[in-house]
Amino acid sequence: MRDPKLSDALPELVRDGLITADQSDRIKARYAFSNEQSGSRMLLVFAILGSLLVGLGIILIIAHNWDDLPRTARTMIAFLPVLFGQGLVLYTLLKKPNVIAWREGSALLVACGLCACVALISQIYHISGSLEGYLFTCSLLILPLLYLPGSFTVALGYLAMITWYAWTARFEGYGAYDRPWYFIGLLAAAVPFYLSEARRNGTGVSFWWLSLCMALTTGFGSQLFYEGWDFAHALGVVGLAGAFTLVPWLHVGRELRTWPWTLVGGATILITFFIFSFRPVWSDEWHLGKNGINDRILIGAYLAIGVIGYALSLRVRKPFERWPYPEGLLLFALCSVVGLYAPALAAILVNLALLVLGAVTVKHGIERNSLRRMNLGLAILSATILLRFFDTDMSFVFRGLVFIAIGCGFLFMNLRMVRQRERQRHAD
Amino acid sequence: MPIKLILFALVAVIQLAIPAWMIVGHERVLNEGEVFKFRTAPVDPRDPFRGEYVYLEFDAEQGKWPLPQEMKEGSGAQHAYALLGTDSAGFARIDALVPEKPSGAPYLAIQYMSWTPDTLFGINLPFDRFYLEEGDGKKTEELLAPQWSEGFVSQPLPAYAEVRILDGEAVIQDLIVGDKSIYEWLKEEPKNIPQATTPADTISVRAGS
Repeated sequence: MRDPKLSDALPELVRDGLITADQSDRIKARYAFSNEQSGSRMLLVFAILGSLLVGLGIILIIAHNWDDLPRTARTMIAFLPVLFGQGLVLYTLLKKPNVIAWREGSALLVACGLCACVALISQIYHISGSLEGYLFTCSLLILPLLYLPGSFTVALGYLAMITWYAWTARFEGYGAYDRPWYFIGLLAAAVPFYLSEARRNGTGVSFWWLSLCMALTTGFGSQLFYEGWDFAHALGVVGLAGAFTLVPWLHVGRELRTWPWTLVGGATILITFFIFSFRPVWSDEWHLGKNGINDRILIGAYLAIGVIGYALSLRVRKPFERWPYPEGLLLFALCSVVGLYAPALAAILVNLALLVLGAVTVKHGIERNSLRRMNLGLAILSATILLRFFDTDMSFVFRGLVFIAIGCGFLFMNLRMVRQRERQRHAD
Repeated sequence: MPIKLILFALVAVIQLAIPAWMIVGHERVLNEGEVFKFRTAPVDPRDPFRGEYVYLEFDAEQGKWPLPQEMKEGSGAQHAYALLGTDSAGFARIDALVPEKPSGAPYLAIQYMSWTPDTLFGINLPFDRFYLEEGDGKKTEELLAPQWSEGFVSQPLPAYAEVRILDGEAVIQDLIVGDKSIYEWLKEEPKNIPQATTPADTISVRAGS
């Protein structure tokens, strides 16, 4: 049966004496406001989509390269989208300073216009170089839009662009030996925007996305400074990932949507653990000593950030509280030390650590009545067992029995939790 | 609000000034720079933002130059200055590499990587792209690729980039194939493009050389 509409239900509730007329009016006022909000949210989505399409359209039209037009005309045309966008930003600041849709739309148009402008100048003067220089120039040009008029969508684009820049600077330039030092400055320039968004709109959906992009950009970019890459660098990766999982503990008592940091850090730790759960990884590649001094310093620094962060977090967090991933860093560090002397034992320890992480996640899921978390824990346990199919010699019958056991485990645990929820609902 | 407006005006001016500065710098080189001709062989890639271009490889980038003491050997890309001259056919060549900015002679800022302590065998010139209208990149590449027909190969016409150079900065002015600008070739039908015919086993083919 369909639930009745609020507008139809309210008079009935008043008639039946369940709520007073005054309460009915207040409920109506509350949801009238929500409808208004929903309308402005739709406007915002369309403003962003529209501006993005127009902006990308301009870039594509310019990418055609109109050779028939004289150089002066093409040079003038290059500035038109920028000027148009800047005009809209000016109008927004003067007339619609509080309308998010105008702010986002106009800023996005300026950003796309600037990218198109630099692209057109590159075409006209046959400016060389890989994508690196272009992305760097565009990043610098759109950076002020994060603060004036202050655009969340431009910030997402900016973070994506500086990550791409860091990648091209590291791997695609002439020689591909340079490290993307400017990336540090570009990322630091976005931090005040991130903090101001946390203060202004820390519980909003947009801040969740901003946190996700910041975590991905910081995590990915930080790993582009190594001279080489081998399995020992995983220590640096896990060090920083461990610190990421502790970010929500930086604001205990204040609700902020910083969960994406834990998501990115936790996923990174789990993936690393799964890779290192294979025995050959330890025996063939685990040689920290063969890395250059710079890499060893960097790995040490990332590890120190994770360990110091963990030590500081103990003031507000008990070990294994809420999620076990920060402890994953310590477990991995322990396995790494063991791996230097006994690679086979290290592989076994990693598997045990994965089982611990999975079991603790299941326990948290059951305690918090969270199906999602419990199933994540079960997935960690199952994946740890299933991955052993690849590096151990098990018969098909045994493998079949394992599959059946895992399937039964999932069904049993989920049914158990659903029944527990129902019992709780009846008790309430 | 006025402070925000003033700040935005400042930002807007900077956003316009940086591209404008790029234009001014390149216009100055185009108007006042000395012309050099660099033999080249183009291939046709694309850039996701900036459109279609032909990637230019230059003969002048290959050679053998003594590496001065001050120009360190190292793993990354290193920077130096190339002193420019011309060969007997009038094409640009790199006479020497020096670590400091020279005065009184045309030069270019270049990059190099060295694996030997005293000799360099290749450098990277600061220009390698020639942007064309969408669709023309492929045509240009075909125009400059050798054609095979009944055991004979037609060697493409020699190509060179006309580059203006001023105070170490360079801007490509035109891409010349044979004796005509690439823009003139692109206006013609493909069948009109003449090529020198040679038996296939007697030449080593390289576009533009």
